[in-house]
Amino acid sequence: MTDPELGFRLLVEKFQSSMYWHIRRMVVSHEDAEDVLQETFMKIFRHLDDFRAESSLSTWIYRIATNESIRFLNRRKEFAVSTEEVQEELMNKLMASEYVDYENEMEVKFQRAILTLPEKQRLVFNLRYYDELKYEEISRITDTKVETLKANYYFAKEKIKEYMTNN
Amino acid sequence: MKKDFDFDAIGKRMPFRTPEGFFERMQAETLKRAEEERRKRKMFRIRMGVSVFLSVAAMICGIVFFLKPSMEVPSQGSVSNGWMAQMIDDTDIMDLYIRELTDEELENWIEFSENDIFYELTTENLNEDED
Repeated sequence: MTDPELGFRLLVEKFQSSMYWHIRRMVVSHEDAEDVLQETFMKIFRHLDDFRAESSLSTWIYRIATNESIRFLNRRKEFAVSTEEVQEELMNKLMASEYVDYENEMEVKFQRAILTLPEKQRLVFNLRYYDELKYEEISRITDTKVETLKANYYFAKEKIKEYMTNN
Repeated sequence: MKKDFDFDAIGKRMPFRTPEGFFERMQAETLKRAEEERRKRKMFRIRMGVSVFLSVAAMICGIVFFLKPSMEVPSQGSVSNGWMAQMIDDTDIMDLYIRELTDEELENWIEFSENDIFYELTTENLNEDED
């Protein structure tokens, strides 16, 4: 096995799981997450030579996975489907999936609460809450100012709190 | 008064599941796709190399032909030494090129030739003509 082959294999091994869950939280359905993950890794494979150590490898990979997830969600909008309709579709996917454990009502409800957030807030919340990324890293992934991210995360948490308390 | 929701009550737990053996299968598929793409890229490079080589060879032949009007055109039965030498040189270059290919590259090249649409069309046409 040559060096680039071995390198790519190690990279897939190391990041496969975390990238899958990051994508899954964004696109909700397992099948869609699988497709997006494949595309993410193929993109990484094609552009591995272009990677410059300006950011960490993990940030670079998160950025690609995030872009692929958003591209996937935007594809629906190209077919004249509104943002609200995309949100509703995601909610339906959450409520009718073979790969969701409905016995954990609280956990399902929490995911429903997250899905009520606008896309950007949802992304910021997921990256901060689940992946525990620093605001500076999220800033590099999303091309957004740290202050804006902090505000996004604060409002996201407030909305989730409200949803969980009132529903 | 309603009690505020406590995030720690849920933590990072999610209701999402994956099929059994998903990550192993996923990894194998990803690496297979990457390998296929690498092979295609290599084939493309060989194809480009061959195309460039043939173009240059054709150009050299053209230049030699037009710049040497006095050169004898071989007639049946009497092939000039110069013409023959040129033919031998071309064959040698091709032999040398093929010899430098690795087994895998050679295999890819043969596979490419077998799948060449123009090659197939020509063969089909020939067969039709024979019919």
